[in-house]
Order: sequence, then structure tokens, then C-alpha cells
Amino acid sequence: MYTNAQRNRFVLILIGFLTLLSLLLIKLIFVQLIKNFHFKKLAAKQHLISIEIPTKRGNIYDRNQKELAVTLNMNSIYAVPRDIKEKEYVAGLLCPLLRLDKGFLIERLSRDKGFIWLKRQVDDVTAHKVKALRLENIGVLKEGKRFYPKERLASHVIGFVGVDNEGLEGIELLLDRYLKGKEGLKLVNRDAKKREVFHLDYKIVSPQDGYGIVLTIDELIQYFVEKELDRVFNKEIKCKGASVVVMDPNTGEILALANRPAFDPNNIQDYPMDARRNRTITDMFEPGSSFKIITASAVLNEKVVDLEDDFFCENGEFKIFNHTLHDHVPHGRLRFREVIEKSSNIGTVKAAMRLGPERLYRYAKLYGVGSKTNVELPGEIAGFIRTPRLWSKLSITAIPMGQEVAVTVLQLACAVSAIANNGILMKPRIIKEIMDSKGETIKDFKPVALRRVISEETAYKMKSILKGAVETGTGQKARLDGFSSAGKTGTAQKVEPNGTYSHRKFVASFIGFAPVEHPRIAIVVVIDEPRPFYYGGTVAAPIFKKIADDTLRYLKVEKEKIMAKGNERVITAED
Amino acid sequence: MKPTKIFLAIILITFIALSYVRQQVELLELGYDMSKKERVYLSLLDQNDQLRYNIMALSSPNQLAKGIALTRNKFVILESSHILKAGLEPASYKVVKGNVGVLKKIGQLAEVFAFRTQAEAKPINK
Repeated sequence: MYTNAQRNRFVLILIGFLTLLSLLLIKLIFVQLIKNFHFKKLAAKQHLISIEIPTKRGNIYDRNQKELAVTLNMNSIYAVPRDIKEKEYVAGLLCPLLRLDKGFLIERLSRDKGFIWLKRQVDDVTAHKVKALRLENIGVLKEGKRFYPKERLASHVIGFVGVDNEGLEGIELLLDRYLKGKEGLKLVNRDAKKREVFHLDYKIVSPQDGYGIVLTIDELIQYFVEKELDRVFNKEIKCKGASVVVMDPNTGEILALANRPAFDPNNIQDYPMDARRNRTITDMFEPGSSFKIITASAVLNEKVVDLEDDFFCENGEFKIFNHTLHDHVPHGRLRFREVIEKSSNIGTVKAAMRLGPERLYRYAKLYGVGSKTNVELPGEIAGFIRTPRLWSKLSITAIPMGQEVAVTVLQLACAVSAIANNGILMKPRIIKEIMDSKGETIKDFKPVALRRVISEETAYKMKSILKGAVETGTGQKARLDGFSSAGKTGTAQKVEPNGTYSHRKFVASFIGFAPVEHPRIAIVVVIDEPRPFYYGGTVAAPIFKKIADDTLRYLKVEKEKIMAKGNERVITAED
Repeated sequence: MKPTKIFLAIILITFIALSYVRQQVELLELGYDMSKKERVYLSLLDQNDQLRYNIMALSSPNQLAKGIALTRNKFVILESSHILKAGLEPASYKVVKGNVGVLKKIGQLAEVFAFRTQAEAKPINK
């Protein structure tokens, strides 16, 4: 039996216990119900973080969708310098792995920053070794790095990027806004050890990967060009530079574009600035005899001269305006077609004098001389030709044969393509289409016909002249195997610093197309300061031949029947 | 009876509460698992990209040409001067002048015994 005192103690303890329990319940209700939102917000602030999802830079392809530039994820090593206490110890462990100077690392780790890169875009092995050290406040992040699997192929067209994947040259620069894409964002949970944990609150804004760029370049035709340039550049011929453009004259599409010296965009730091220049559009030169295609087409189109008209070429020496004009080989009487086939300066000037400065200038402008082609590549220059009112008395003897006028390689390619295309000048194009990451076309680039330069009849006459130049004229080394070809040689003297024409420095060129009847390709070859030989017919024409032979076979162009004499099938060895 | 009902209610509430906590823990474990699998997935994607890149680099025309040169040392891409074209009709073959009589006899014998004479290739320089 309990006494009153015992019962009272029991009741007291019960009341005390119930009071404590009530207080606990009140606190619980306060935390779980009343302050619920506040504490949830605090927790979210600590655990929920937004992380930027890096975007993948778009690829660059050739016309057959073969990759020319891609992005691969690489590892970059970062540090949180503010939180690192033993900087020397950490630097000592990292410097052999990252192959960086210890002093450099200590300096970087001593900076008062919350985040700093130590080394960017390292290989998996190095990243794995850094992770294995388990150093606090040293971490590895994935970053995209640009790679070019075909190395030097079309390097001047593609260009290259900087360390932050921003375009610095070529298509990488010009179409950077299409290639770079847009970063995404994800909201994730992070635990006390800063590990990401998927959660119901997980939210994501998907990144928009960069668009893919499809070029008009054909990888294999580009290879033919590069292989031929490698074969001759500073091996068979010593020269300062070389450029080749292969174009489809019917559409203006650039099938190949190459320069020497060239560079490998995977190791851009190993190459001088000179090698990175796209000489086909950044350099201008006096074209010499190659310009005669413009003079000839102008005089024929204006009907001041016909193919069979007679010209006396003064036996190689023509005195005019107190100046003596020379031919490289003396000629007597030549028909106009022979004037061009044999590249007589005197005959050409006489024909141009019948035309007059105004009309010659007009045709040069129609062909695009002195104007940019607006090709989709950065750094293009316009070249120049002075207006007739600024011409001297001697200009009419110089400009028709390609002096006192400056063009780019691409302008020459467009000009000869216009003749091949029956007189219509096409806009040169390097981009075929832009597509998204799923391969759907976003933007398509169609051929653009700029204007008619000469009539079809004149174009036909020009084709026959240029075919003659290859068959019997100065361009015989451009004759192809099984295909007809047409073209014009050029051997232009360069201008010395004192303003006179050099007798040692030349620009050798050959501009042409094949086949003659239905041209599929137009090719321009320009060699800067070739030695020991310098004639366009000797130096540039064989390069044209090799490239055209390979390209037409690759394009499966039907060989033209070249009948032997007397229709007799004989066993022959081809030259 | 009343104390039993209260006791049962407490047990039920406790069970529900424990189930909820268990569910949250499982969600967290699944979250860790998914994060881990996502890292593996991304790593596999990177590896795939690198392997595809190796294929792109090795299939470039330059690399293929180097490979052919290394593996087939005696294989030479023929220049056009190395190619001889053979006519299809035996009658149009031009024979070497000095051997007309002998070859004519061989030809007759060959026709009798149904042997085919070998074509003679005579390079003609243009």
C-alpha cells in the first residue's frame, strides 16, 4: 500500500516527466511544422548546387561527312589554393606528374583564390595518378579539347582554336558562334563529402551542343593536292610558298585548298606565323600571263578581235611609248589564238590596245579583279587594279599581260571557272551546310551565280584557245592521260623593294580546267619564287596534271576516246 | 480494450514512420548508385569518342598511304609510263620485223594445235 507521501512523489515525478515530454513535443512541432520551410531552405542551400554542364563544340566535316575536327573530353587539374596548407609538399608531389616547375606550382598555389587551373587537358593516365594521390583541394575536371584527326589536311581552311576552345583562325573562327553551342545547367544534391547524389529534386537544363559544319572540301581531292605539294615543295623545287585551289566551276564549290608551308593544328605552337597564313586569299601577286585569259576574253567578247585575226609580233621586240616590250620567244605573224597559246606579250598588248583601257578595266572588274570574292574564310583581301584615269601611258602595255594588277589565287580560280562554266561567274563556297548534333540540316548553302561575264560563244572560243595552249602551246606539261584539258601558264616577275621588276624572282602559275567540253574541275597552281626553274609551264603545269589526273579518276569521269592514227588499235605505251 | 487500441495505434504509427525513413534511405542509396553509374556511362562515352578518333586518324588518306608503303615494300603505284595497253584482236598486233618468218610458222602450228600465240607488245614513242 502506498502512503500519501509516496503517492505525492509519484505524481510529482509524473508531472515533471509529462512537462518535459510536452516541451519536447512543442519543440518537435515547432521544428517539423512551423519552422519546416526555413530549415528546408537552409538544407537546400547546403546540399543543392547548380552545376554548369559543358557543351560539346560542333564537329567540322568534309563534303562526305568525314570528320576533320572533333572534340574529345580531357582532364584538367585544378586546385583551391586558399584551403591548401602544405603548399610546398603538394607542389613537390604534383610537379613530376604534371611535368611543371616546382616554383611555378608553389606560386600558383600561393595565390589568394578559390579556384585555379594547374594544368589543362592532360591525358587519362596523368589524371588517374593525380586522383590516386588523394590530395585535398586538388581535383580533376573534364574539359573538351579540339583534335584534328587528319593533321595538316585542309589546315588553312579549318583553322584552329585556343586553349579555351574559342576559334582563332579559319572556319573555327568564322563560324565560332555556330560551333560553340550553349552550356546547360543541372541542379543536384551534394552530400557532406561533396559527392553528387541523384535526388527527386534533380533538375536539368540540357546543354545545346555546337552545330556541325559540313565543308565543300573533299578529303580525298584535298589529299591529292597536299600529296603533290609535299612531293614538290622544297624537294623537287625550292620555293618560298605554294598554293593550289581546286574548284567545281559549275557550282563554285571549293573541293580542295592547300598552301605550303602548312601547319598541324594539333600542335599549332610548333609552327611559325608564316605557316598559318592562308595564302590563297591573304596574299596578292601580279599574275603575269595568266591574266591574258581576261584580256583575250574581253577582246573576243567585244568582237574587236577574232580567233583567226593576224597579229605581227615584231619578232620578239616591240618599241612603244619609249619602252621596249619583249616576248620570251620571238614570233613573227601569229593568229590571235596562237598569240594566247604561245603567250605572246606583244600580240596580247596589240589586241588590248584595240579594246582600250576602259573596256579592259570593265572586264577585269567583271571577272572580280580588285574585289573580294566573299568566300566564307577570314582574312581575304581584294587585290587591286587601278581605274583607267590613274593609268599611265604604259599601263595599256602592262595590264593586259598581268602587270600593274594584283590578284589572289582564289580570284584566279574564280576567273578560269567562269570560262569553264560558259561565261558565268560563280561565288566561291567553302561551306556546304550547317547541321545540328542529330545530323538535321539547319542551314543549307546553295550555289550562287554572280553574273555573266562573257557570252557562251566567247567562252567556247576561249576554251578552244586554252585547249590549244595545252596541246601545242606553253602548257603542254598539263596534258592529261585520257582527258582533255585547257589552261594558261603564267611566269610573272616579282617587284623588288626598289620598285623594279626582278630578274631572279618569279611567280609561276598554271590555271586550267578539265575536261574541256564539260568541265568538272578548275585548278589553279601558284608557286612563289621557284628555283632553279621558274616558268609556269615547267613548274606549275606538271602539278596541275598530276592533281587533275587523280581527281578526274576519283570522280569517275569517263575517259575521252583518244583515237590512234588510222583508227588502228596499236599496242602503245603512254608517256 | 482501450489500452490495447492505443498500443496498436502507437505500433502502427511507429511502423509507418520507420517505413518512411527506410524509403528515404533507399532513395539516397539509389541516388548514389545512379551517380556512380552516370560517371561510368560518361567515362564509357569518352572512351568511345577516343576510339572513334583513333579510327578517324588511322583511316585518313595519309595514314593509309603510309601503311601501304610500310607493309608492301615491293608494291608500287604505277605511273602511266609503266602501263602497256594490249589490243584485243590478234590480227592487229604488229610483229617485230626480223622474226616474221619464224613467227608465221609458229602461228600456223599454234592454229593447228589450238595454241594461242602470246601478244607482242611494242612500245611506240609519241
